[in-house]
Amino acid sequence: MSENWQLGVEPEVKDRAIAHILDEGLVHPVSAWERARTIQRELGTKNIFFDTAWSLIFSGVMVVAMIVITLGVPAAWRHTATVACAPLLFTVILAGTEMLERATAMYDLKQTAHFTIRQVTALRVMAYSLVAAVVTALLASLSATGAAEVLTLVPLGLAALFGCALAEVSTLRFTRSPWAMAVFTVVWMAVWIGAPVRFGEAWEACLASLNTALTSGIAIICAVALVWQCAALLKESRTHVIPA
Amino acid sequence: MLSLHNVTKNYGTFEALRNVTLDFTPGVYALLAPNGAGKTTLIKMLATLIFPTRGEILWNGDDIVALGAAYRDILGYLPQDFGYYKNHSPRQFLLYLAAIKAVGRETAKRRVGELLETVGLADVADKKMRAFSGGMVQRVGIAQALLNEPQLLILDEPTAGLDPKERVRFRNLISTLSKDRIVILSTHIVSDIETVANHVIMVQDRHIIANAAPAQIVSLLEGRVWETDDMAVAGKSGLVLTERQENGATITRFVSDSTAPQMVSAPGRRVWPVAPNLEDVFLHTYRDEA
Ligand SMILES: Nc1ncnc2c1ncn2[C@@H]1O[C@H](COP(=O)(O)OP(=O)(O)OP(=O)(O)O)[C@@H](O)[C@H]1O
Ligand SMILES: [Mg+2]
Repeated sequence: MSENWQLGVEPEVKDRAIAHILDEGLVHPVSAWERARTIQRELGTKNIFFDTAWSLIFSGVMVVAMIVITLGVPAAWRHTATVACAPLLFTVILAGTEMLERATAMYDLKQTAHFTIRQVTALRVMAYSLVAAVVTALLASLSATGAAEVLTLVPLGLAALFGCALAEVSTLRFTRSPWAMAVFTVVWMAVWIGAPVRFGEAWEACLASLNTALTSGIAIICAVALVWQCAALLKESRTHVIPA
Repeated sequence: MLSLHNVTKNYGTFEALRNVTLDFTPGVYALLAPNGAGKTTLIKMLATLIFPTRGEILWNGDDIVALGAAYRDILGYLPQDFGYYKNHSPRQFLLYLAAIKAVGRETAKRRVGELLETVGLADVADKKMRAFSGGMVQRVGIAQALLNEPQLLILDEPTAGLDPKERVRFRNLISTLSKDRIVILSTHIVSDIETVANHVIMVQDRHIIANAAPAQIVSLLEGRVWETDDMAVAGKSGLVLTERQENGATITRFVSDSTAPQMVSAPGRRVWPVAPNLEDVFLHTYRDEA
C-alpha cells in the first residue's frame, strides 16, 4: 500500500468503503471451535442430543462390554483387546444416531434449518470422541500392570479410537445412505477382531512391539484430522454436500 | 425476489429439468404437473438440498447456496415425505424445530402455541404423535414450515392426506400468508389452486410450459369445452375429459376444436358449451402422458 494511496483517500470514503464491505456480508472467519461453541450456546445441549436417548442406554451397555473385555482378557492378549475395544463406544453410538437420522425423512428438513443436521452431527462427534477418549484412557490405565504398560496401552488405545473415529467421520461426510454407517461399523469390527483370529499370537506381538512414540503420533495426527473433518462439517456448503 | 436463470438439473445422465427460468415475487405459485414431471426436483433445488447442474438460483441477486444460513433463515419448507418423531408431542417437536431454526426460546413458545391453534391441533398439542393420522401429521408439517415466519414458503404437496375441511382451512391460511411473502406449492389437486394461486406453473417434458394466472391458463380452452349426453359425439369430435352421472344419464365432458360439435349429434341428444376449468386444462395438456 503506497503513501500516495493512503493520502488520496478521504476518511469518509474509507469508512463508507468498509461499511459497504460489511453490508455485503463479509464476515470475519470464525474458527471451528468458536463456531461449535456458538452453536452449542444457541442451540443448547438438550437439542443437540434430541431424540438420542436410546443411545445413552446403548452407550451404557457398550461401556460395560468394554470394561468386561479389557479387564477380563488374559494379560497375553491385552494389546489386541485394547485396540479392538477402544473404538467400540464411539463407533456404535455414532453409527446408531447417524443411521437413525438418515433413515427418517426428517434429514432433508433438518438440513434446511439455520443449524443444519450436519453441523449438529459435528458437535455430536466432538462430544462422543471426548467421552470415548476419557473412557479409553481410564480403561487402558486400569488394565495395565505397572506404569510402563500404562504408557504403552493408553496411546495404543487412543490411536485405535481416533483412527476409527477419523475413518468413520470421513465415511459420514462423503456418504448419504443410512447403511453406510452400519457397513462401516461391521467392517471395522470384523477387521480388528478378525486379525487376531487369523494371525494368532503374532498379531499380539506385533501390537506390543509398536513403540509409544509411534502410537502417540498416530493418535495425535488422527485426532487433528478428526477435528479438521468436524470443522468441514460445521462450515459445509455446496461443494461438500452429497447430492441426494 | 427469487429467480432462476436457465436452471438445468441432471440426475446422472437423466435430465429432469432443462433451462428453467422463473421469477417469483410475493404471491402464491402453484406447480401443477403430473407425477414425475420434476416438481420435487425444482423444490429441492429451491431448498438447497440438491443443486442445479447448470444455471443459477438467486435470492435478491445473491446465490442461494452462497447465502447459507441467511437464506435458510427466510425459508420455510415442507418436504413431500414428511418425517416426524413418533414419541414426541407436536409441541415438543415444534419447539425442537424452532430451536434448530434459531427462533428465540420465548418467541418459539408463543409461536408454537399460535401455530398449533392455526392448524387445528391445539387440543392434541401434548399427545404423542404415534397415534396421529396422516392428515394430522401433515398439519404438524405445515405448522413447522411457518415457525420462522418465512419470507419464502415452499410446500411440496401440502394438501396430501388432508380432508376437505382441512383443505379449506389450509387454503384460507395460504391466502392470509401470501400477502407479503412468496408461497410456492406443488399439487395435483386442481381445486387447491383454483381459489388461492395467483400463478400456475406447468411443467411438461422438462420445460416450463405455462406460468400465468389461473384465469389466463383456463382461457386457453375458452370456447372449446363441451358437455353432452351423447357419448358418441364426444368420441367423434375430440378429447374426452371426464364423465359423470346426472339424473340417470351419462354426461361426457370433452374438448373439441370444431366450432359446432352439435352438427354430429344424434337426433334427440344434446350438446352444450361449458366454461373451462383448470382440471380441463390439466387433462388436456397432459393427455398423452401415462
Ligand atoms: N435422485 C434421483 N435420481 C434419479 N432420478 C431421479 C431422482 N429423483 C427424481 N428423479 C427423476 O426425476 C424425475 C422428476 O422427479 P420428481 O420427484 O421431481 O417428480 P415430481 O413432479 O415431484 O413427481 P410426484 O408428483 O410423483 O411427486 C422423475 O422422472 C424421477 O424419476
Ligand atoms: Mg414430488
